[in-house]
Amino acid sequence: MKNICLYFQVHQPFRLNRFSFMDIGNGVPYYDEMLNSEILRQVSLQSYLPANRALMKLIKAGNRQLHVNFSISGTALDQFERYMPELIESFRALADTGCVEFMSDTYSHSLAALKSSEEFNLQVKKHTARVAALFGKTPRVFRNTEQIYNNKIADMAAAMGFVATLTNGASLENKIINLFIDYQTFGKFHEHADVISTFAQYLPNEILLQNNHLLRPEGVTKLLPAVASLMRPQITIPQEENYDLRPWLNNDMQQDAFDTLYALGKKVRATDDDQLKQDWSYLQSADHFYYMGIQDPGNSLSPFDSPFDAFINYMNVLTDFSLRTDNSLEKKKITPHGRYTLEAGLYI
Amino acid sequence: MQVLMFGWEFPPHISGGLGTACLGIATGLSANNVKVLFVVPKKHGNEDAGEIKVVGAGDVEIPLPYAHTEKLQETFSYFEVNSPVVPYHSPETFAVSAQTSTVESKQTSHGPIMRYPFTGGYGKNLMKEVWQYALTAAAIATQHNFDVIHVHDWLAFPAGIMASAASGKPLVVHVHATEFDRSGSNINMQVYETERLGMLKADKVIAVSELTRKVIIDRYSIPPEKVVTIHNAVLPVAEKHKSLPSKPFNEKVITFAGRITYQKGPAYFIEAAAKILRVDKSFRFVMAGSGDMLKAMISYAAQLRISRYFHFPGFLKGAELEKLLAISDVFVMPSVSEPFGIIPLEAIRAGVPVIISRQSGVQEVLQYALKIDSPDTSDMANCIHALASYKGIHRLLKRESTQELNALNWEKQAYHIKKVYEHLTSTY
Repeated sequence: MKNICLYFQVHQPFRLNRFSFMDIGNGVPYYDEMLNSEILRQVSLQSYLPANRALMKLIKAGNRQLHVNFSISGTALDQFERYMPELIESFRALADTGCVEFMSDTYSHSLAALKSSEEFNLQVKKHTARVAALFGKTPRVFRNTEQIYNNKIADMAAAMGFVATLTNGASLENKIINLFIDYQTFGKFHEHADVISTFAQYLPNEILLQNNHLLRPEGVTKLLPAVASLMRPQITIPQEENYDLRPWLNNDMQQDAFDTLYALGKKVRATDDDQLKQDWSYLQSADHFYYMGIQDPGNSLSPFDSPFDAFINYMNVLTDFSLRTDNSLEKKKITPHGRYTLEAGLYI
Repeated sequence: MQVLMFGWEFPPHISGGLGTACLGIATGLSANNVKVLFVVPKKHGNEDAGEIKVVGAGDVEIPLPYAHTEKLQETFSYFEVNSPVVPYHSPETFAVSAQTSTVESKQTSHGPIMRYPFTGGYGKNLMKEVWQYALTAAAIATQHNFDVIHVHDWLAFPAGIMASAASGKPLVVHVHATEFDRSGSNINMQVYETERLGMLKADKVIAVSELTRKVIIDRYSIPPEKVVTIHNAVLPVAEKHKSLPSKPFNEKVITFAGRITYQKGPAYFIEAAAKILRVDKSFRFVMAGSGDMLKAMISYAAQLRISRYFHFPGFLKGAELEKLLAISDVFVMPSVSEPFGIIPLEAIRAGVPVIISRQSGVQEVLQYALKIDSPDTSDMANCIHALASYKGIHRLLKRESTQELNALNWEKQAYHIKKVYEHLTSTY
């Protein structure tokens, strides 16, 4: 018997506007509202909503042993609220059945874990609070962006109180198999809308029929008490690290952008500008770095014509963001209040 | 394998990319064991490069009266009817009339001989020189042993046709640029007809890019199967200049180099520069080259009040160009139409990342370059600014385009040319 955990990832980044260097410092908006809302609308109609309906149908039909785990990024949740509020309702209805569990993630599906534990903690807490507020239950399992995983990340998550951190692949002598599926895969890459319901309806049942257990991550920890927290490094994977950063941080452009972004971290945290902090969060989505990747010529998810365009555009936005951050700190210095003044002053 | 080649210019006496490409092709062919005899109109004496033998048409003695094979007579008539380069009605009358003006002639024991003097330039007697070059080519073709004739651009097409008619050897015409590249839609019909004649008479047409191949097929109505694309390459630097200059100022140097004519898009470059300078003064722009729009461009920069950030050093070649590239941060080729465009490859060779027009042949062989539509000067400005400002992309393009360049060498490209020769000579 194999134990199978089924995970659905739901993520949408805030894709950027075409932002010329001539726009730097001129208050031009960062995000392509038209594109983001249109993509979300399409993906919702093709995948999210019909798949949710199929799951609900299964659960209502009495498949109470069905357990599905969702990881919905904070940027996706923000877009739901902004462009498709019915999605929130749809996921909330699933949450209320008790058959669906929500996991914690970095808020903007970021790579912060690789750069700053302080930033990482802030983002995970923000996401956890957001999910709890929307769906009424605090996530207890953590899943890092793209399942990027190492001992340090697992320790950071454990220190924050999560009972488990998910990782890719089979583990525990193949007793547990984690299946990660991008929720928008349903519909988007299939011509026939039926595929959605086919998968949603039959896969869980097929797995159960073959005498496999479909588990919630939390269920795993109950099933295997001896190895209490399943995904701790000594249990899950033989090697120290289990990730491939090449899609996001392989070439000079990706690394330059990544370093330039996180060099701003301390300054941003020293400000008390909410809009700035939201932009800071949105700019960290791993997608922006993925679009700069060259290895994958069929980078069909990129809204840019080339990785060079993606990089140039991002750097222009980041330059503007950096100016705004400096201005914000400057203002704060002029009207000092409290203990942040000194800290902020250090970065001016 | 031996090839008889005709081309209007050969380094070091060049006015643009054509001569540079001819040297590359000839050098690459030598490396592939093809013997090259290269005929230029006028030899200056310092053209010979290694195995390549360079002959000046002006030094070739032609017997009079001119040899009349039936085939050659046919070609004369063909030119007479179809090609506007023929300034007189027959080679005999032409020769006689020429004798009375500029042609040197003398009596020998074998009968009278003559030589045509050539300037090898692009002056007002160009059409006459082209025809004299063609007549000389026929004589050269009977005086040497070779397997195939290969001619570069329209100035040498009549020479190729005549040489082929005189010798019966297959003809390859190599199109480095068409009249549409030089003159836009306002073309010179004399030149167009000569180009078309060469392509029709040729056994194979080599285009320097897919872009050019398409023009040859679409606008000259040449059957697609007759036209093959063999991209240009670049020769390695002969000797590294040990004391290349370092930049005497802090500003970023953005360089344009090429003929300053409409087709090269110089005005777009100036407009992009103005857009950058409006927000950031830490840039300097160099427009190297000469051409009919040079004065207009100097005025345009002045009119936009950016002259103090602009430099117009004139036409640079060899070491002078190397020096300019050594202090350049970004190279831009904003051509409206560029059949190939070898100069960005020279920039890459000098370690400078490039921004190139999508309407160029060279963009077909470069992935690691920023590509622009020249009239979109905002995009050009954005690309220039980014490449000069963000080190991630500068480093990536500089390193990877050098790799691409290394994979693109004349020896490899000449191998493809040799294959064309071999195919023609085996089926001829």
